[in-house]
Amino acid sequence: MSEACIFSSNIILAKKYPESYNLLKKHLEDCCLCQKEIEKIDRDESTWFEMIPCPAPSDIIKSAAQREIHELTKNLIKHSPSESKNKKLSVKEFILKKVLPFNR
Amino acid sequence: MDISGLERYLNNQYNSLYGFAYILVPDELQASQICIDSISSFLLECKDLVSDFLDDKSVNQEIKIKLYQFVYNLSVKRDVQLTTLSTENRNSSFFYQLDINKRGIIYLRDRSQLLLSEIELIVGRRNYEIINDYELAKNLVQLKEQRPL
Repeated sequence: MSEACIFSSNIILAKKYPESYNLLKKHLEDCCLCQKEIEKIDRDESTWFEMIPCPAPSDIIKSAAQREIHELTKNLIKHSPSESKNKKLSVKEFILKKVLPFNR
Repeated sequence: MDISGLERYLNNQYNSLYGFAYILVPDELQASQICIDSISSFLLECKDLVSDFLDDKSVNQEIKIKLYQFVYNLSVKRDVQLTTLSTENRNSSFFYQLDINKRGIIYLRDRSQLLLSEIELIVGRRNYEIINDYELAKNLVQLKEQRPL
């Protein structure tokens, strides 16, 4: 069985919450067993990170998405309140200019 | 801020949304379509957030969470549809054999670096369920990949 320090069990929490584990900081820096444990934990973390896939879109998909997003946000302009206000005004103008003269 | 600012923001978010969608539904076309559908649903359903963004209010993180939420919900639905159509697994990595919830939680926590409270909002589950699923899935992947721990 390999040697271990009793404080090694606190390393993960000490890394996560350094303020709460301030008293242990000096020990963790000086103790060679704890230092070995820290190295092992760091190694495990980086190995784990490599195991998680990180898919990225291809250039074709990305440019297609950019076009789609452009269309979607363009539609947002069409349906924005200021735009519909303009539309209402033009209808009003239409009535005043085209419809009313015939009814007079 | 103008609409072009919103367009820029959505384009910047696209990569991480695509990554998340692909983790959940490992297919290029499906993932890209899910992202576009999510953005479209977001623009239609979250008009308040959109107008807050356009009024220069700091709602970036809220929008990000909402977008992730749409991607997650759509992906879960799409996953059900796809598994009923075909049982073929396109990806050989053990990671993709985990169930969709576990894959999503791992991605959100370790790739997107989101807080537990934010993950709760996205996947609609309690924090202890999320932690349980995360630890279980992590141990499984590490065991199966048989790498030195």
